Amino acid sequence: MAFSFGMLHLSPGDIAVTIAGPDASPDTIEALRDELGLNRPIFVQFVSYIGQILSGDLGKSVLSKKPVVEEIMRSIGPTFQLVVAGMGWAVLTAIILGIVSALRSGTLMDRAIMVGALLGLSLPLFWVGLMLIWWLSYGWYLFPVSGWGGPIWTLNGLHHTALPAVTLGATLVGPVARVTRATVLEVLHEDYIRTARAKGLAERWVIYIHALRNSAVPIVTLLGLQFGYLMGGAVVTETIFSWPGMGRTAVMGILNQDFPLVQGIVLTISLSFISINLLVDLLYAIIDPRIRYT
Amino acid sequence: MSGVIRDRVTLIALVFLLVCVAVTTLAPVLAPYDPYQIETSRKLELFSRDHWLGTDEFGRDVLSRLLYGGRISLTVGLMATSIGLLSGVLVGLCSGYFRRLDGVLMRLVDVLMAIPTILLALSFIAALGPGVYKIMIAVGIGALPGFARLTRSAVLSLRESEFVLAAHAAGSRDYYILWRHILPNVLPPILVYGSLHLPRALLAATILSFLGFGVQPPTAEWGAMITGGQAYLRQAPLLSTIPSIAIFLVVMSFNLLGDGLRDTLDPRFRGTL
Repeated sequence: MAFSFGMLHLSPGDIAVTIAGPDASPDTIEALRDELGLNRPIFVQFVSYIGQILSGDLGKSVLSKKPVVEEIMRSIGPTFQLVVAGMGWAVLTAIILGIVSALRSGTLMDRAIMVGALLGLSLPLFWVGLMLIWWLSYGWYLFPVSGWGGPIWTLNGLHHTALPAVTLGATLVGPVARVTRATVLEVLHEDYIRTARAKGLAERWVIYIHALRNSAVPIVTLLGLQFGYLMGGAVVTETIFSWPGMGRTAVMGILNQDFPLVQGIVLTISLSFISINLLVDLLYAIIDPRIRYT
Repeated sequence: MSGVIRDRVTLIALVFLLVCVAVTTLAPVLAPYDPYQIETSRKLELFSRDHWLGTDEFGRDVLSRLLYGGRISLTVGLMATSIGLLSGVLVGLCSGYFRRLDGVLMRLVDVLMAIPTILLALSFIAALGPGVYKIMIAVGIGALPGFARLTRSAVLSLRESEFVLAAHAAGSRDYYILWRHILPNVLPPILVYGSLHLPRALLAATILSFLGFGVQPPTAEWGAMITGGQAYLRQAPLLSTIPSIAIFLVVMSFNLLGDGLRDTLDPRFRGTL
């Protein structure tokens, strides 16, 4: 909250002039300054800002004149849908690839997967999106070029979500696959894995129930940290596909100098990031019962 | 065997990067055309003898713009990492060495870490306005927490070392101990982290330019070239593809170089990150 308040006041020039526009009269600017409380001492403004946030008031958008909370509520659903879809397919794919790579360590398949993971790490997100549009939308007319088709459980929604979700998740597969491979490799040499195999358990059971569960903590940690990168990636993905999410709204807000809107969105996304990492910390205790918070 | 291959791959990556830096630095000599020279009669051309990588929507030579644009893109990535490294190391040194400053500095670092890098950069851009220098500062500040935490943890373990205690006993001042004894010992892991972070900074800076917050037209820069090519994706996909491939190759080379440096200095982390 302090950061988002500070950013607004870091901007050069008079905030009231920036919001009112260069053609506004001095009386309008002064009235706006009074309305926003900009004539008060900075500390009073900060306390007032905290009070507003705690009461759910993030101010009004300069462009649409609607409450910022309303703009965020309108755009949070599409962003959530995109991030969940992107993360979902990427994590599933990455974990499977990581396990296969670990089980076939040193083979050609292992090297191919790891090289692929490195390539994925280096791929610019916007290029993935543009190439998917060029190939699958313009080339084969399989998917729409842009737009949000509705909730993901509808056919139209799923159809529109496909390309953006693949774009967003593409850069996540690499790091998650690499960490999965490293941790599963480490776990496969443990005594309890040898015991499970000696007991005659099916290999699938040994890998997915014993090995994967014991490798889960570092993977979940990485996912919590990668969520931040995903939110950054969502800004680019939403811009490419004209997806009406928070990222694209933030970009439009910056281009139109809509400070209250940008502030509100940055605050919302930061709080989401903190909440996700708190959830990750709580998940540790579920995944590994040896970890307990006193 | 894998060690030899990895060393060779690291060497190839280093050579490629040196070639990139040399070629982009010598852009005024190597570029066949002025990157701003408009020739509307030859717009959106594919590869030709006159224009090896074709022309853009204004008939400008893509190869020339790629060379000149590389100077800006590489410089921004390098400068952003340098800003993050210098500021992060300074914060980390003070935080790790001076107990009284540790709490305050680490809370500031926590605030920066709580915000995803691109959003942090967008916040700065929103406050300060677009521009290449602002992108450098914005991405650099996003890199600060990582360097600060790494430096701090290294300083915390070195602070109680015998050679530091001996320097204290000899009457050396704190800044002298930090500069002469502690800093040289924390530099290797910081440089490795810097080499791993550089591609991320380059990508972040390119993303911000792609979104329209970097260089303004008609300046050539890889992110801006991709944005410009987006509108012509159907008829001229190479306009966006060529700078994207350049970014991809440079980022991958930095990743390989960083992996190689990390494996050389700490083989425990081989193949993990």
